[in-house]
Amino acid sequence: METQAQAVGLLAVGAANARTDERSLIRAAQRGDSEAFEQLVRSYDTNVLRMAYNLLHSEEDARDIYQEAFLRVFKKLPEFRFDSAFSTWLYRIVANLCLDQIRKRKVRKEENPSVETSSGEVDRLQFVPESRADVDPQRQLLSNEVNTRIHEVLNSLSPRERLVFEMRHYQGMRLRAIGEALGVTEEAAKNCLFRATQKMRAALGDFI
Amino acid sequence: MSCHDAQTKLSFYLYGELDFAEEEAVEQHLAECAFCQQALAREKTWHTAASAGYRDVPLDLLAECREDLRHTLRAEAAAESPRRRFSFDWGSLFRITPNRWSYQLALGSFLVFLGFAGGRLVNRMPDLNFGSGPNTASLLGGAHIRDIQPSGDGQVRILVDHVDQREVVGTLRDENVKRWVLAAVQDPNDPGIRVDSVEILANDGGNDVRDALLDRVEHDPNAAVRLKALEALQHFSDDPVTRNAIVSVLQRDSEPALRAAAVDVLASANGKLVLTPEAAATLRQLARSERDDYLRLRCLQILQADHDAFGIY
Repeated sequence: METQAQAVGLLAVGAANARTDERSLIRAAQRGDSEAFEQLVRSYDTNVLRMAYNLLHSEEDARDIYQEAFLRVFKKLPEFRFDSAFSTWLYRIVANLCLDQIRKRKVRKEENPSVETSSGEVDRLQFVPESRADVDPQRQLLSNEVNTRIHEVLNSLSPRERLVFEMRHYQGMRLRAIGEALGVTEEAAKNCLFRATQKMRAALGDFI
Repeated sequence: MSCHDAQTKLSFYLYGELDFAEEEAVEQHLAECAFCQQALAREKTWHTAASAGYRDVPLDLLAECREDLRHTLRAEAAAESPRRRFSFDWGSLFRITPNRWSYQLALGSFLVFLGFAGGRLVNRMPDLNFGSGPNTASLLGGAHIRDIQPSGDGQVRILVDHVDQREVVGTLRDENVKRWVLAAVQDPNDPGIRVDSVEILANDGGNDVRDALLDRVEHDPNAAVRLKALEALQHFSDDPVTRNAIVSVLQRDSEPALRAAAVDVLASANGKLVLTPEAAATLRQLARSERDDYLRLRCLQILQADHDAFGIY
């Protein structure tokens, strides 16, 4: 029991230290310390890029979101006053950029079933891991159909539902943080997620 | 908890987004309901299936993004540095060296422009704010709501200041016009109007104009207005009252650009320079302690021109 309490205590101290470190990094970056800024970027950029990449299904768009997001952070960092967590602020920027991009794309055309990569266009389903597919062809077929349906449902979600689902399901963000990032209440974010999961459940009902 | 309630919460249950009481209730229901246990199993299946389709970022893409960002930021920082210096280090902006006359001139003009543009912007702010309402601007016209209160019987009491516009045209020889300009030079709401008025007054003489300019030099909160007024005072630079006021600027104004302009106004009458003992003392003090090279040099030049003072120095 004591060991567990100690572990919890250590975790709390670790989290507090991480927050302090991040705060120091931000302050240094605000003073123009480029190394501090780079460290700050590296703390988050993998997640930012992953989120943009999976939301937009395009290396080019993900690259643009990455550049634009961190450029905005760079420009606006001197005005950052620690009113919210840095991550919330960053994700607000990323979320808005992704939402804009998704909306633009919705207007332009429906999502392409293939994905842009550096080696050309590749079918979206090639990215889906199918560990047991070799063993059972019938399962492979079902797996492909499930994945196709999942992508269809994801593409049919509203931009905001898509983003909330992405942030909760794939990024593991808490609803409170998602709400803050999107500038809505936690309840609104929860409703959004509820609608997204309901659509997902309804669409996959025949398969599972 | 009903099966319907439980099933609507299953996703949140898996995401860990239920509060303690809700989670307890769902778990209690699941322990007793085979139907909902199956629903939970289905829920887990699609959660897993959805996760399986998630793609990780190619490592080369991440590396490229980082490299691109590094280049972009380097270029941005290079372009940004003058702006940042302007924003955060006013001192370095105003530190003028002897060979940077053009810099000083540009800076002075910029201050004037800043005050003017700021004033214009402030003046238009109400329009911008009211712009969202369809008829607000036309309803208010030149009016300003001073107070608004409910009067208890469902009525509202609104106290409106109504401003009538009228045009006054004439030269400064017209006392009426001059009175308006002298009033405008003190307009607390619009530094742009004050700058314009100072500029108009700069072409006129008279103690009332001098006093108005001195008042702006000593009390205006806007540096651009103070600078403009200081320049306008050049016409009065051989006047002892003006000289004392300029010395006061040298002693008290926090803007190095203003102090530099004050020294220039003092020096502009070099041919007939008569330094009061107080002015000479201030210049000697500045020549010793001022951090700005340009200011120190100008102080020495003026002191040199005034042989008696220089002799004491």
